[in-house]
Amino acid sequence: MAWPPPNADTVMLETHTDALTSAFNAEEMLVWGRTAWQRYAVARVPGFGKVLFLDGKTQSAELDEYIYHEALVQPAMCLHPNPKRVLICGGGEGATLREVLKHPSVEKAYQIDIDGELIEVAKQHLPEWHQGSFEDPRSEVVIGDARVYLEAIEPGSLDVIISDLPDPMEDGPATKLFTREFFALVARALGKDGTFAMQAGSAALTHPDFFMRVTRTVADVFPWTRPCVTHIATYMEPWGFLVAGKSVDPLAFSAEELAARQAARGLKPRFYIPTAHLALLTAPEYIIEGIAAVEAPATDADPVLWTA
Amino acid sequence: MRNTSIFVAEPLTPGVTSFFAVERLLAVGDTANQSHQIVDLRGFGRALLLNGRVHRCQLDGATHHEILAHPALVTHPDPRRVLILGGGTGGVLREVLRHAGVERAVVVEPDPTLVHHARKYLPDWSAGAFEDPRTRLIHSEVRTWLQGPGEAPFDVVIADLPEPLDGGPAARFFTREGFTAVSALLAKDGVFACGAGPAAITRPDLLAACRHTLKTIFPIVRTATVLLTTTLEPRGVVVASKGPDPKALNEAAVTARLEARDLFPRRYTARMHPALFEEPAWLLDRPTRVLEDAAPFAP
Repeated sequence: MAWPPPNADTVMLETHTDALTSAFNAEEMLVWGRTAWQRYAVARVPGFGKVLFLDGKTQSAELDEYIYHEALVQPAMCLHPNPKRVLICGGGEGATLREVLKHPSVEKAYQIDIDGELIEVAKQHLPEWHQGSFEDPRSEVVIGDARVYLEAIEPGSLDVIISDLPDPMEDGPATKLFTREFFALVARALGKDGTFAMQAGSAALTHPDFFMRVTRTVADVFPWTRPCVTHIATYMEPWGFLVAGKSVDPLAFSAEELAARQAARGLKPRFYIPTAHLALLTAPEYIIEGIAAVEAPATDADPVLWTA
Repeated sequence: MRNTSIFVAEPLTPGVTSFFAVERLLAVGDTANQSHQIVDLRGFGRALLLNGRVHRCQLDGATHHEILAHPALVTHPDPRRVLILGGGTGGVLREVLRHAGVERAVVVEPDPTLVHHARKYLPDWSAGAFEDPRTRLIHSEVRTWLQGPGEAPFDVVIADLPEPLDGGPAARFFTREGFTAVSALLAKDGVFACGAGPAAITRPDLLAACRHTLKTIFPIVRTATVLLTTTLEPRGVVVASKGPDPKALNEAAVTARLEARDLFPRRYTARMHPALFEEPAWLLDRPTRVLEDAAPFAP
């Protein structure tokens, strides 16, 4: 394939680290702008379909957003025996909400996101992501700060919490959403069988420190915390998630149990098939070793920032 | 990007091209079938480029070498005779020779200058493996050698060849006829580990086709996914076997075999083995076809 591509009208450049720059050939720019919190653009890229860029970074693509969102949501939802009340922190595009609502036991799905303008952009321009989830009568979107929301919530009132927040930058709004104090609020809000999952940053060998420290921090609060890693083609990196439980070890969940639960709930996974659970929860050795070697969990006084 | 005007442009798909910054160019070589460069990449360190693309880097090349070699060798109960196709850096050879029972390791590498450059600029990849008395290095085009008089049988064959992206002669290895020639060299319980390009939803077709084609020849075919950072995509290794099944080995069984061979790899571990062979849904569903000499892989 020649460079530049003959049909490149607009090129979106993404710098991962100073080692690597990727050029996305945007054959059509669908919408772009700026909210109070971030810059956004939706472009059509050959092979990827629609791609959402936030602050110049690929956020998700039509091609493989289902891998990211199933990896994020489905383990925690399937591990819970009867998830009725669910909270999503962040998750602006509405695909996280879509995955939650697939479980028929869900009575109420709250989404707390700081950027209401971006949700409006998603409602209009990313129907492939939310698939009408914002209009589901079980959904309730709250615009605000997830930390404030969790401080006010009744303890033990939720079954599952999913954190789908951007990696925190210095002085950014997400800094206090990746600390031991925040995860303690998450655990407090959950009932006795509660499960928690989050996107936890890159798992690439060149910059896994954020993922390792976040995982170590959650493990300080939850009895069971397991790192999850899968490749996200749009990010061109192995990506880190984690799933934590108050009463069950996620790694002990067998493919047979998962298959039975998925069948009982009428789920038709595209990525998170029963055998994918073990693959997702088997992180590379450098991640396991790195988590064990983390010196101190992230706290409000000593937070973890995304720096790569 | 600072202080460099040399980049490797890696066209991953028609939609995205990634640029690696080159800090130093160390060696260049060309043969009729393959070109190579050895460079220092910013952030990723020393790297081997094959046919203009990043083939393997210092940073995580060892992970790839371990997963090409160890799952197949562990799956075989008693591997003594091993054949490596390609692999001119010696990285896979080094891992093969760590299995104490291996008596003979034959490397068929088409490009003699690659071996020379790798020994000079990537010395820790082979780490003396070419000097091991069990090693025999042969320079030949792979498919030609497979169909020659050869020195069969082998217990394990490992293919570590670049993706056949240009439709050239290298594509003729990844065909039913090419894989049948491998099968003919394997002993009764023989195991074949075939490096088969990217294991990612963006470019799944070579892996899906190799897996499918191998299923027409071998009774047991399993796919391992190697998570890597430097190649921007995971890599797939198809393990095809005449008898032993890698999925039949649980963590305890792998631990027992590794301990019996006094072998403790860092990146391929008994803990990882069962998950390694869980095939992703996008691979199981992918429409594909049998690759043949008359219709080899075309990207």
